Amino acid sequence: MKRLSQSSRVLVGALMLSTTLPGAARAQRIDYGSLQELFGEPVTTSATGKPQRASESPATMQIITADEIRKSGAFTIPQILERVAGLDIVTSNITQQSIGVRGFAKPQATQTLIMINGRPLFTEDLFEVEWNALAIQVQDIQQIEVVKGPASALFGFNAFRGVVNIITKDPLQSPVNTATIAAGNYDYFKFSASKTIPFSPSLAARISAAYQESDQFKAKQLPFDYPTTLPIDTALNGRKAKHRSVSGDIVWAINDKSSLRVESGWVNADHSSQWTTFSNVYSRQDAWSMRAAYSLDSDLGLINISGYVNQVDLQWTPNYSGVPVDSYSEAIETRAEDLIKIGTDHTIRLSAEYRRGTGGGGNNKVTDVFGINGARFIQETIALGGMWDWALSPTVSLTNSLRVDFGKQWREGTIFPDVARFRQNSDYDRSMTPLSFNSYLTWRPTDDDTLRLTVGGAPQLTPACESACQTGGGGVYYIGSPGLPLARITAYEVAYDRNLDAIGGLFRAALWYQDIRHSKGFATLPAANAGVLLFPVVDGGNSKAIGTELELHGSASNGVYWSVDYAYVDINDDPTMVLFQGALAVNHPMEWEKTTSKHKFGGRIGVQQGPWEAEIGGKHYSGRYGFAGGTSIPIRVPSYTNVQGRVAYKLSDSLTLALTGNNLVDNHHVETNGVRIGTRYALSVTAQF
Amino acid sequence: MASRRRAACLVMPALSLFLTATAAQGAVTTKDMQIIGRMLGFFDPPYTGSIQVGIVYDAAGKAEAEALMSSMASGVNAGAITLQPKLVALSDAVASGVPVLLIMNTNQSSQIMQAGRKAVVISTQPGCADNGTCMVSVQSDPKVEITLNKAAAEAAGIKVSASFRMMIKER
Repeated sequence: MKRLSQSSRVLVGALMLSTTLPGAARAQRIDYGSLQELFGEPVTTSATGKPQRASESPATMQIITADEIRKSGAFTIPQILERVAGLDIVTSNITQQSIGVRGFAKPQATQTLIMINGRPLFTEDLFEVEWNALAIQVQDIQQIEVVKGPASALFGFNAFRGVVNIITKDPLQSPVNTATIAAGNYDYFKFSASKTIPFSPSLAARISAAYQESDQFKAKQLPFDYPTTLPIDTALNGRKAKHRSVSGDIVWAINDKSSLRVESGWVNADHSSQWTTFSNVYSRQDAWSMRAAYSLDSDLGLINISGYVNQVDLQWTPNYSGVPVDSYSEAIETRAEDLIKIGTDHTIRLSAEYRRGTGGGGNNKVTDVFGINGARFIQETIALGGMWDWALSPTVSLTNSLRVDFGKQWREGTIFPDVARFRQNSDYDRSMTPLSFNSYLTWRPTDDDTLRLTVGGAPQLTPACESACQTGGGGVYYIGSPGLPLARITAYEVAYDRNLDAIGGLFRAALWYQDIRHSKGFATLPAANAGVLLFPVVDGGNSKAIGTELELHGSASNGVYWSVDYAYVDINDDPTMVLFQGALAVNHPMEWEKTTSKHKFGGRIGVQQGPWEAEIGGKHYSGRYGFAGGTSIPIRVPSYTNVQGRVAYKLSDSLTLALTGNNLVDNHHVETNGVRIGTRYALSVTAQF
Repeated sequence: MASRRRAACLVMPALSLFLTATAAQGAVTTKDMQIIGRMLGFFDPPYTGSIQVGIVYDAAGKAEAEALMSSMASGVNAGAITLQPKLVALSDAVASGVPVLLIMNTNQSSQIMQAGRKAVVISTQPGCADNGTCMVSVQSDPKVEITLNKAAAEAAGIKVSASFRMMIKER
């Protein structure tokens, strides 16, 4: 696909429909806000694809509302998710966190599918999400839905460990007109604004923009980092984290039966983070996306046809070399689905999807990630899926989902001469047909009790870089491995919810078991081949994990609300061992049992009275390990507690003053290896207009 | 029948309430009325604006009907809909032409359900949609539960939106 110039992208992103058209105020897309007001709880489609009340979702999920997001005191979206029991939020620098669902957290964790309105956000090279490079503003978020456990049968191959779906407000149904200015330590400044323009009762648009910059957390001298002629902190401490974005969202309710929604966003972001190898890197990203979705309420059911394009130009500067490398990521997807209720007890969803993902070199530079002269790696899939929800009785329901991906991959472009001695493009040709499934049995014996039994299986396609990277030089190369078996997870869960009117809340318990095969990562021990040192992607082995989550939520009539939770994860790795210098050794830093905190304790309390809002909450992580960048040398990460808080005062109906803080207790603690996470404060003023 | 499409003038078809003499199980509360109002926004086509509420009474229940009328005299706001109450005698309910009826005592509803009129027949009596003595049953406590009798709705030519239909129980 021809790439649009930046100016063209901005023009397309800001495209406004100038016609005014008659039509009903509400067409048949999901009106989250009105449904939430009707049923008194959030509504989601993230569990099965059909709209459901959060309390009736067969999957263990949590919905974080716009109200909770506003009160959270979070600087980033992952920090908002710290309140979810069973999620590990690992900070690698001031704007970058990674999310692990039920353990398996490390920098650049790639096994949780992150989406905005159903559009996946991962880049093709490593399937990672760079949170600072998302064109979305917190004030535009309707709710964030978190599904724990594999959900590939519904969402595709990257919903390996779970799903985070960020739902934005519908401009036609939930107008947003706010502007916020914030400033804080670390030389932090942010301006963010959203404006909704109602052209008619059936046509509205929202434009949002933001600018943000700050200093970054400092890196401690690492004795085991790769030798470098550069001071170790040069790539990190001397550079700012920056974010500039513009996004647009237009909804047209064509008539009572159909609607069209078009979203687009552009972002330019710079920040430090870490690769999966725990190596510190500085990244520059220029990203553009567009999504269009058409909904039709027909005699054949609720039909949705959608498509999106994600384009990202990345430049990575790894600390170990100080030399920038470029990559390019593009994803194109089209999808059609039909959701139909048959009789009174059966809901069926059929879907078909085409996806093409390209990871490539950038602009023909020699130091491309994928080779030279703009080489690229393409993955193409056609997927067919089905969901069947059956209300067996007034208290029992069974939901089954199945998905088949027909995929193929190949490589185009020149290979590094050193690598070409043993690799050629035909080595990257591959076809695969992975299967995904989810099955949920839900029993509601009383209005207050819900028991859920679930089983799911999901594959994960190998990211472009892990299949086809060729980066390095001077006889040392990191290369992808195209023929490795796909990673696969099978998960089992028993969960129980109990409404507790006495405390105005809920008790929840979940017990789960997971079997993960063929985890992958870059080797940390070199292999000599034809005179060059190679660090290929290797099959790291298998893991088994068991865990539990316990939660208690409550609220009182005086405006106080609270929650406490505990999560336990026990992972046993069966890593692939290699013979190195006469001894068996682990050849990659994919040692999940070392990098996962076994125990996590969370809690939150807040109050809203009159013009005042205050909330404080946090999570304590038990000790674990990180790794020295690019090695299998473990670095102890002592236990730590992340506490965040916010106090806000409503000066008037249109003006709010807030003081926000993050990491209020364990200042300068370590979460991965050498980067010290500092305490942050910011004062903000928000105007509604 | 008045059009249900949104217009500058917001007078909409009436809701009728039929009350028993005592506030027994299934008695109408303000929260019930708000749920009913919001629910009407998910019909196909949707109700919008100010909707006149007909409180249907018999001789034994007139005093209570008047008390409820008085408590809702300024209207019940439910999102984009405002319910405006009006007293309607039981003897007038079938012939009144009001397209939406709210029945409190479903023992008296058979004449209305069998009248063959195109009308939304709602009750807060638990189980009435299951046994066909109402078209839509609404409970707001302890949690909101909405049940639609599909056969009765089809016979009356009444539809709800597809997304709403997937979130309610059907019988």
